Amino acid sequence: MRVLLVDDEDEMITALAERLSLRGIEADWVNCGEDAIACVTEKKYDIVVLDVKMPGMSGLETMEQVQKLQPETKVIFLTGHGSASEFNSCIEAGACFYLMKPTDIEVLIEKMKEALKEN
Amino acid sequence: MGVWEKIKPAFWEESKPLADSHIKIFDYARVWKYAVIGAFTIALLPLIIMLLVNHYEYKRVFRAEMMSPIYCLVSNTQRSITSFFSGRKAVLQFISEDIQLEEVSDQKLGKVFANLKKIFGEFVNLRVIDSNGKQRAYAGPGHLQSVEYNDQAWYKKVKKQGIYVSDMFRGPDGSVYFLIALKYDRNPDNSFILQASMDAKTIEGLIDALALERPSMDAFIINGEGILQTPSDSYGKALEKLSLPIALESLEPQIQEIEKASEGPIIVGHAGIQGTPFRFVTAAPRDALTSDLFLLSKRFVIIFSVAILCVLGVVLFVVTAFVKHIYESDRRRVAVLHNIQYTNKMASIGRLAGGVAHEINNPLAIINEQVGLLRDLVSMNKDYSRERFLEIMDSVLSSVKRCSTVTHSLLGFATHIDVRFEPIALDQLIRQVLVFMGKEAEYRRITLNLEVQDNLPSIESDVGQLEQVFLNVINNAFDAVDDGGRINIELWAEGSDLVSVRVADDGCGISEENLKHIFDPFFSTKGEKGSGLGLSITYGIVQKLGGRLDVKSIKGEGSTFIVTLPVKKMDSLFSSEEEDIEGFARG
Repeated sequence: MRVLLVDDEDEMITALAERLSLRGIEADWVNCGEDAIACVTEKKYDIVVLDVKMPGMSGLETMEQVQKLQPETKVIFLTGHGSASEFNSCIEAGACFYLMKPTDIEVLIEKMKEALKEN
Repeated sequence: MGVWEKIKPAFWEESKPLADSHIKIFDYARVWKYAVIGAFTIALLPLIIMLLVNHYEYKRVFRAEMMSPIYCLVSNTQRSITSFFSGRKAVLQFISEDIQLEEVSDQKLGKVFANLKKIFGEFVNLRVIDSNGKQRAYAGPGHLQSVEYNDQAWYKKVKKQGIYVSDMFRGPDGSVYFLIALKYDRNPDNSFILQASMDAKTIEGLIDALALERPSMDAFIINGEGILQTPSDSYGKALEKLSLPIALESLEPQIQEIEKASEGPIIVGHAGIQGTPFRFVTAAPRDALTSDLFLLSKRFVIIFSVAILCVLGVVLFVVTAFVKHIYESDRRRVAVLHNIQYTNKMASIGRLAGGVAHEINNPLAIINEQVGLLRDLVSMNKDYSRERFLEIMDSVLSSVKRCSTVTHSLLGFATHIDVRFEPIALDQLIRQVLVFMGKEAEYRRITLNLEVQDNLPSIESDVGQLEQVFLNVINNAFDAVDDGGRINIELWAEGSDLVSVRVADDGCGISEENLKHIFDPFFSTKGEKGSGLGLSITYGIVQKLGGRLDVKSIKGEGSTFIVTLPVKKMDSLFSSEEEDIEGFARG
């Protein structure tokens, strides 16, 4: 399973990437939507974990681009903001899951697996 | 507890003057006093004027009515007494016609006197005196002969005047008498003087009978020297000096008001008796004559007092009810305004809740991942260096610090909405407000620029109210700007008394038409997103704090809000007992 983590919180995203790696999941990380698009353009990912609010491109905008580039890639939102309206927007836009920070890594991995099973 | 404490209306204690244009607290006690005085004056002034006019008019009429009968009494009595003397003089004249000086004798005169006495009992004696002053005949009690009258004053007067009436005098028997003497000189050979002594009791009886018309009045006769000729009930016995200063010049009836120290004013009516030295006098204390007026005045005073009490009662009841109604309305209004203000602040803070959650959840997520990583490294027996360990710990500590910054900022927000003055560093307060907006600015690429003048003085104001002001103004700026916009916040001192904060954005701006209404309650251009109360409340708070809120805006170019606040608390605006006002607002 190849995962792209997109979040402007460096310390969180690097630690998460390392922890996923320790569990055998290949995880790349970038800090913004623009970089994420660049990665997706170059490389195929099974899962993209997106923050909703980021400087520059928002999570939703990034997802839209990702889905255009790799329609089969699953998107999971991991956000610190969290609101019902945002949840609805994300799910309606095609996200598989909408998770609130902080999230247990096992839950995140479980959701990734569930998302992949949807295929 | 006194009676006042029991009956005083609830608003009395709330009567603290507070010049507050936003939440108006009346000085109810002052309103009540002015209303009572005003209503009482309006109600009673016509009554008082009517009463005074009535009193003076009635007094004038009463005085005229009082004087008229006295004048009539004096005039009638004058005529009666004058008629009495004229009658007696005529009788003597008649008798004189039959007297022949050469033939007159005591016996002849005695017969005439006896007949006279039968008709006119007051005649005491009669005597005939020749032109040499020698008595020629006498009729009456006793026997007086060879008396010479040449040197006597009355004899000289009667010879000169033809007729003479003497003053009263006391006779040897103690009774009072007077003389009437008549000179008969139609025939030079038969010239003589007929003199009659008369008892004064007849005059007294005549006066008493006439004076019965006015029993309250004393009536008597005085002579030209003010000597009492008949006894007075109040002013002395016969032949004593009268103590009243009566004007004796004219014979015409007169009415005088004489001030007497011991008795007060005395009404005196008097008139001269023609052909005599006498003057009829009637007198009575004015109070006795005006007792009816006094009684009437007393009744008026009682009626007026009852009317005043009734009016006072009605005025007090109506005014108290009126002020109470205002007070209750104000209480409700202030409570509603407080609720609106509180709700607005909560809404402003609520708007920040998302940002707050984000600001806390992100560092929590870092902690979660960093600690999770540490656990993974340890539990999975991975190699890790001491530096890596420290790096992870630093990251955790840094995230904890981020969380505490947010929670401290949240706690820093005043939860009270009552007014508490304290020194405030305005730049710090604005930075605290901006803590929650930093991320939104970052995500929306809004440039937030804060410029603070060096040595900006701290101000004496209320933290809670100012937070609300700047939350509202800065929130509005965020709403106005597009993503990638710019908000400039500038703080500077204006002289030593004022500090200004300018919040300028390059957003959509406000049209000229809307600019006129932005401080009106419930006016909003945000549709369902806005309550229309934010700027209205902000404007009210700034005014309450003694400051000013100005706005400039050009449609499409942006808006600038300038909040100007006093450095020192304005005592004229706030009492030192704001807590009481707060309690009042809450009811």
